Amino acid sequence: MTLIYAGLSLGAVYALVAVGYNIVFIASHSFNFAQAQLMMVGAFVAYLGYVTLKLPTVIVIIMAMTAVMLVAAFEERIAVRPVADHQTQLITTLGFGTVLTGLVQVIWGTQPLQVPFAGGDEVLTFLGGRMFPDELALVVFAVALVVAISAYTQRRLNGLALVAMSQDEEAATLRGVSVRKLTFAAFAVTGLLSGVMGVLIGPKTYAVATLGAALALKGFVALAIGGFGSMYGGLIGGFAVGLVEQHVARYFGSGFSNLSVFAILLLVLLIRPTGLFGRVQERTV
Amino acid sequence: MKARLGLVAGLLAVGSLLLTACGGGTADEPPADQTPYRVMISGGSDAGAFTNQLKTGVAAAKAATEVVNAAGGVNGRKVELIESQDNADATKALSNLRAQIAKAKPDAYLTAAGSGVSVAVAGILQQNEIIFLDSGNAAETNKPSTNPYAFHLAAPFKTVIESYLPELQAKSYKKVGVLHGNSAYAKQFGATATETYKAKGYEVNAVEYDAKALDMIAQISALQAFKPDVVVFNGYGAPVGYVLKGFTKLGWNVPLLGDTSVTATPLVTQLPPDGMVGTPEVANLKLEIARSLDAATASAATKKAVEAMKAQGQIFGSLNNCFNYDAIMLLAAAGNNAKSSAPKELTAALLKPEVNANAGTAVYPAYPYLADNHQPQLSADSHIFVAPSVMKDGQVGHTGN
Repeated sequence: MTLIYAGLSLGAVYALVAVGYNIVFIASHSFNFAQAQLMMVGAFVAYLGYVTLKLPTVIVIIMAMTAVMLVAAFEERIAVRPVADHQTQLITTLGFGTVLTGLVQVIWGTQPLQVPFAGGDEVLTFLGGRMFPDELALVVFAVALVVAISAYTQRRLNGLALVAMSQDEEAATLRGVSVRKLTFAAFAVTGLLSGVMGVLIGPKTYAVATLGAALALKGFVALAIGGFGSMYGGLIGGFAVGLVEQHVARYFGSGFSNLSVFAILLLVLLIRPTGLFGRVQERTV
Repeated sequence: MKARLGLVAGLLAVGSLLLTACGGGTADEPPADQTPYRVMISGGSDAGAFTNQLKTGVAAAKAATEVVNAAGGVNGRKVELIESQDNADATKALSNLRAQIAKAKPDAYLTAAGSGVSVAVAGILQQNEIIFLDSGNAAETNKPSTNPYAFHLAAPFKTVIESYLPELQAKSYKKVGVLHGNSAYAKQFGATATETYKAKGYEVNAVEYDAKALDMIAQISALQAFKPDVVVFNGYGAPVGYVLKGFTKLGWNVPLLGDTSVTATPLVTQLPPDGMVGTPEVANLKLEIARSLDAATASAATKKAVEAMKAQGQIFGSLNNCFNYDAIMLLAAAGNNAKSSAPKELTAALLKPEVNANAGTAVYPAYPYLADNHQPQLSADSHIFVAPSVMKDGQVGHTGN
């Protein structure tokens, strides 16, 4: 059971990266390849708040959300908005992520830093398995976040506008949706959420400059398995990647762990090229 | 007329020969024994995870340069340290070395982080007969028959692995679990440990983990199924934390013996909140250290070296990052013994036990090299195991820690 919990908590981390990718993808049809680095910055800000400044949890969360939101908004202004096509945005956001990694190394160094968890660090035993409180919080947060975002996009006007943009940008513009404003807002919201994600991920992974690179690829695989644009797909894709990775490493060795994850990705894409929950928009011309 | 012309030509010829003989080269270049003894070092300040290692390696070389120059240099030649700003990038290091050879050939070469640069520069150093004291322990730099001027500085695998044997025997362990990463070094660690302990009659099971993974529960569970009496493990940086957290999460109270790279991870040698010293995660852990890393029992030479290095900058990690201090001390001792700074004489002197044992080195008291093996032949008791404690100035066990 401990192995399943480990897979789920790791999967939750990947799912959160996938959620970040998805929000930007829905709003702008582009991938923000600096998403994992934004979460990494969140983890470092959490370390700064908890350890260096010794602030209470609420203030640390607000600080992380604000700081990463500003970074994400800045990213939209310099790495996304000036670039016309989505393909080039892949490169510019990747470059922005690399800059973030470098800056973090300059400020906090290259060694892993421990980020405390407000819920304590005593191991919990549940149904015969063991997990840390921060891991439980990660799983709960990932599920709650996906449910909340899905509900928002289905029931709130701004959420519907986002979906409209993702389906037909031109038509949405004609209906009065400000595409530019919503894209900017999507980046800012992603930053806001990445701040909270950083506070939650830090206790499990440490605040370490290499975190962005470690998360970016697996988060993308989770998204591809689940289906681009699908929040529930990203969540299930994340859990699938985490569980497969852990079980294969346990029974076949860590050498097969990554291999199996990519084998499953290939299999899913062969059967359903849009991912498990992705949708294809067909047009009759 | 013909005879007078011949006399003038003869005088001119003799004159020019005399001028050449007396000059010994260009007018502004000093004689060979007065030129600085040039030591080039691969350094920099932006090498990702290796930055601290690089900075400390260069600071160690600078400290030794001051000590050696204050004592008269290498056979009377003052040491000049030339830092190659390559950030441990092999291509850049090679290009900088070529440029330096074209400008003014270095007499010796040092590295400060990993073995990538060592592999890249070994060939060109050999061609140019430049002494190479390699803290990266690349295989290319221990081939005395083809490359007589290259020597290793770090403890060979054999020593690192065999140092566990007294600990295993003292605690009467029979089954040994080995947990190691997937880098070239870590794989070699796993393979050598398995082979060595099996040869000594232990039951061994080795499990590899991916150093980029964020959770080690799967690998630790696989090892737990083998029910070992003790787990020997290797790792550096965040994976060390994931491994230790994994044991705590599983509630598995098995004794853990971390290798020298675990010791070099600040996480296990700092107090909370930055580190884990004193926490349940390290309750079962013992760290492998060179004897010199124990501040309480360190030799006078080590203490002197630590003071000299502190004056040059912070010592990041353990004294294991300071092999370049020993490198320059060894060069000076060899040069003074051989009364020469020529590579052939100097390397011959390095093989003499009375030279490398009295060089005033910091990390190991002696670097016993053999004519056919340029790895330091350290004894198994040159390393010991200690409980995690706060590391300060590259050493553990400070009074008051």
